[in-house]
Amino acid sequence: MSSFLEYRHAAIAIDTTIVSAGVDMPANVPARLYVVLVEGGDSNVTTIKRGADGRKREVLARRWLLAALGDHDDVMERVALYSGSTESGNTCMGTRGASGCISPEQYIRKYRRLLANATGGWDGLMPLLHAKVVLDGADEALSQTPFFQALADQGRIRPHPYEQKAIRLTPGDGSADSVIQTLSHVHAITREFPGIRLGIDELGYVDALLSRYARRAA
Amino acid sequence: MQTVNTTPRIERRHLHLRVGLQHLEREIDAFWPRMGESIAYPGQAVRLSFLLEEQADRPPMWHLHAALAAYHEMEHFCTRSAATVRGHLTVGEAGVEKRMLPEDYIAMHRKALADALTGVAALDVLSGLRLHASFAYYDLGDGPDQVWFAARGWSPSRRDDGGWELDMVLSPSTSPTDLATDAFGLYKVAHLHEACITLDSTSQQRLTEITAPAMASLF
Repeated sequence: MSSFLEYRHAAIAIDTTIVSAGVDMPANVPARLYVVLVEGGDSNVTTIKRGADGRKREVLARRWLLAALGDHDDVMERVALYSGSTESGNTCMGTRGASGCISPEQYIRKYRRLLANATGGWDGLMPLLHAKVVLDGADEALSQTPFFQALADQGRIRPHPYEQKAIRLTPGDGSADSVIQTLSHVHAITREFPGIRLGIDELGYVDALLSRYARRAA
Repeated sequence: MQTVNTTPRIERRHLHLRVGLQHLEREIDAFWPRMGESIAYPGQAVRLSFLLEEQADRPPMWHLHAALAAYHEMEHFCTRSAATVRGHLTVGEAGVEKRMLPEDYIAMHRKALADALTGVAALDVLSGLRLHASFAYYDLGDGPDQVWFAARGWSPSRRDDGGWELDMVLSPSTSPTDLATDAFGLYKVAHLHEACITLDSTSQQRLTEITAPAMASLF
């Protein structure tokens, strides 16, 4: 049995009220939209990495993944649902050993602190620019939403492996309105259709959001 | 994919029992062949959690949840804790129910599970209970669950939608060994597809009398 190892975490707070007037936003969009990222990987999946000394080593594979997208309560609900997997050791912090064990209560508090210290503004948006939102099991939902129908007509909803769909978060000229708008609509359909599985690929510069200590901990 | 139960409800009381199974290899084998050896090992126990919940416009109702491994039981309460985030699930006696943080809700049940009734005290609670189970399907005919039902004199009845209803009475005259075996049987029933186990009004009254109100304010 493998465990999912979580190494580092980052939270981005997006102020959805800053988008320009006239941008079509979904109804009931939260004023503060959180994108919670976790750097993790399975305990039995490895990759080859070249170290600082130039030598190649086999190390556990890890990458930045989307942990949750939504307002504060959406994120905390998702974290509470996941927290049970720490009880059985299916999710650990950094290592499967005793030092990686975490209780569900600690796990939830960890994410609560993370949200309290989320990065906002342009700094927070940086990793999301040109990243790819990946939707699984969303074909029906995408076809029912005018915003996504318009994106599909523009050819911006691309097929992704395993019959998933991908949307590139492309910013406009000097403005992140389209990124915030797309994320808000993605959040709205995942709320309306809870069966949709959501991910974000090709995130960049997430390390820039971390403290110097957390950057070194990699 | 797990989703949050958004039905507004209040958890009024809870009662956790831990019934040891280590001495029941022969008894479990009698009803569920070849399971005795893998189930009845030292330290193994069935964990029964009775929860008194109240939904709007409905009287409070005791429900049973059962698990073998302690972490399975905790996982159940972690999943439930997600409903506390937006206040779909609140905790406390009538008039003093409160919202809880999910981590506090989990901690409350972790403490309660650590203090679960065990041994004779747990069997005393089970003795005489009248339960009602509904489930989608089970091993019909001469399957192991059916053998246990028949040995206790219970017979499932078919619903219009193809599911099953079963009334179970844990007779007070049953020996402690058989009662502990029944506790394992309850675990089996609780894990049937779409299973829900509730108590009849007399048993509900009894559990309400022997339990204290859940107190969110302590956390």
